[in-house]
Amino acid sequence: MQKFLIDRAVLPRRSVLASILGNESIMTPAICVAWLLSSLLLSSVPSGSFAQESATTTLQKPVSPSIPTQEKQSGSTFVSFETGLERIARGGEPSTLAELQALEKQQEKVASQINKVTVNVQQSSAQGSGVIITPDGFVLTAAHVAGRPGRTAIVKLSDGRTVKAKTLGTNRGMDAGLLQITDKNGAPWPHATLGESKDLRLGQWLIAAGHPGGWISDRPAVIRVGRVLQIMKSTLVTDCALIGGDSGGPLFDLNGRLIGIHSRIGTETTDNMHVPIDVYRDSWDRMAQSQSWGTLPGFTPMIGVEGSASSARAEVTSIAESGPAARSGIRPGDIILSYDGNSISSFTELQRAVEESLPGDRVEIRYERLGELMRARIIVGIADPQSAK
Amino acid sequence: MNSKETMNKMNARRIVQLLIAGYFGAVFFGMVVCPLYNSMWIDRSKTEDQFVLPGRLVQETLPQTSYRPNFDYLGRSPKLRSHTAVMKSFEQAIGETWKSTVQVVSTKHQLALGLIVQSDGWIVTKASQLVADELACRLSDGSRFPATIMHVNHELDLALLKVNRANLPAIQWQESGDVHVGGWLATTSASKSPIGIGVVSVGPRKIPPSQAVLGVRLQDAEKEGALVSEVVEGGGAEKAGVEEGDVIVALDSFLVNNKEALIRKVQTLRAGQLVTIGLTRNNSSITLTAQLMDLSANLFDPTEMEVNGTVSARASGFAKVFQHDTILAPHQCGGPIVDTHGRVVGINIARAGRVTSYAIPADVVVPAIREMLVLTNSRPVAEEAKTSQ
Repeated sequence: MQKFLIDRAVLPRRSVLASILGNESIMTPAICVAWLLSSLLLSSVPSGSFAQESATTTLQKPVSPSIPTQEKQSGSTFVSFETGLERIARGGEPSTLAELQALEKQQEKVASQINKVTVNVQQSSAQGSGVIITPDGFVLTAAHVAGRPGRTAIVKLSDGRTVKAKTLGTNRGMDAGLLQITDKNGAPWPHATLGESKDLRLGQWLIAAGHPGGWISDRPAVIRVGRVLQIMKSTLVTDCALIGGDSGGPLFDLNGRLIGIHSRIGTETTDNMHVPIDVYRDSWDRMAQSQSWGTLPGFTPMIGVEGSASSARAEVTSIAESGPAARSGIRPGDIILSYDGNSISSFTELQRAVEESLPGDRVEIRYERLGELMRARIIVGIADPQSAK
Repeated sequence: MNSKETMNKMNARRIVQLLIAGYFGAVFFGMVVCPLYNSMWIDRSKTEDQFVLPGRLVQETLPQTSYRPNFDYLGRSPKLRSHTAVMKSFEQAIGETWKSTVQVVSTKHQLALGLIVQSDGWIVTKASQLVADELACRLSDGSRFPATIMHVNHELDLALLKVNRANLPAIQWQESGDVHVGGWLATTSASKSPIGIGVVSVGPRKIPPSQAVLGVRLQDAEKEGALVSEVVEGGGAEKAGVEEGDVIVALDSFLVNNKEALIRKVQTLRAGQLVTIGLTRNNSSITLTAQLMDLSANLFDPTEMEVNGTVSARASGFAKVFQHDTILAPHQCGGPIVDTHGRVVGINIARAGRVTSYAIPADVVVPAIREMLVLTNSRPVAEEAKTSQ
């Protein structure tokens, strides 16, 4: 039987998710855990609406003028395939020494190209990574590295040059962020060739770069190699091991095309999450206009009830002490019938409904107690990841 | 005869027709029925175990028990970079080096890996891993011999061991080329298949020493000494058996007056070093031996500890190492690391974090080993120490 507790519903036991930000990060472990919550929040959007959403995005074909698909080959990181890599290029494993060495040659070529476009980003007291994608200095990073729009950020190039940048918009829900280098000295900037994450296949070999642990003076971008383990619309999972400071750093395919941006990690070294490059394409117009939207990390809604996913109705089995539900009089044994005007028929539905509300929302809940219809107004609270630990 | 032939021909034709029909049926099923089924599935299903097939987006859902989805879906093993097929191709690459690799063991555990540097029983390993009363080496043929520490190079954290055995397969140092960032490396053990693979992340550089720590939080004691207010999980003090409430009164021959004095004393010591702690617990005196650890092990941050895993006690203070992304445990350091051409390019010297392993390059290690062999001249230091007591 699967049990959910709304305020800690999706918090896994073992994998304390850490947002991968530098040492000097302002992010406490508490917020790090929240990162996971917000990322999971995305993935538990009710199925129907998700299907619709993906349908509309495919219809909205024209993407940003600034990262057009045609610019595919324009960057300076593109590397054509070595011969003998056909099978591996499709996500296969090298089975002979020759294939292994061909793969290695390809990796080395890409590694030698991506250092110059990989940057360290410093914004207030946080440090992360980023990647330059246009000659006029647009830098892709993670939303939690970019922070708020309109701020000044410091960008450190792998050769040690330090330049000023301005933070633009963020799609916080997806953890996608954008900056632009404002210094004119040094332009046109070396920039990455863009790929498309929709073309990815499971098992495809990838090269990750970044500045783990923050900027270290005599160390260029740190290279790692792994494979695509899972492909989702909002997230790519790979075994390119990442750690604090890598956030915002680039993920390349074997052709040196940028296909993702590092975002967050789990405990296992195979739990490395990246924002797919297509998310940036879809969000480009709004981000370029310095808009910020989506759920903030550390801002996960909860009402403090626990129930069973397998039971036929949304029955509350226990109540978090002094949580929003407890304060409004809801007790174990109550059956939730509606949440904010939407009827609820299972605990999972209730869980999803709560996830879609925002902390601070005033919500009406109708419930049944001993056959009697009851009503309560509650103020949605914020999940405390500390207590959930 | 003739009619039989026609029959055969007709049968063949029928089989071909069936095959064609089957093919189109399968195509129809794949192109029309499956997507229909999938779309129904997307809309209705509430299961948490739907995954994305290569190149096709189904739905983003994750299991509730762990952030990481179960990769083992559709009966296929995950396409990790350490996939069995990949490891098989590395077996061809590493040649005979595994025969020269040994496991350095105590009575209970493996402490480190090592390499045979001279056929008459001389073995090199990572010195700070050798915290045990008795040492032995297990060779690739399965045989096991007691070992004695003959010499320690503290700068490189390498120890020279001697086992009483001749005609061992000594490591072959070839004219090793430089390591290339992005190029493959395999860490051998005393068996045919490597225990880990990874790529060069950063070329050779210096890693300055970080501060050594005991792994405790301290307060001033009522009288003399430093009161242990917290024992950090995974630290040297915890492993030694230090408990909360203990009062540390001595460190080696140094008498501890207060908290400050102890901290200052520890700062003068090196990570990996063993210290004798004199403490009082419930009015009785206890003496323990603890190993100092690198502060870079992020001992004081539980989230960092969890995502980094166990790191080497001594993971910094190296004049020249290259960094690679092989996932190693501290007890898997001390052995050879090989490139895809079978060349031994160095010795793994530390696990420093989730994305970081260090190896001392061959151009440093080869002369250092030669020097150790010359200095020892087969005279055991450990025995000398025993007789002087």
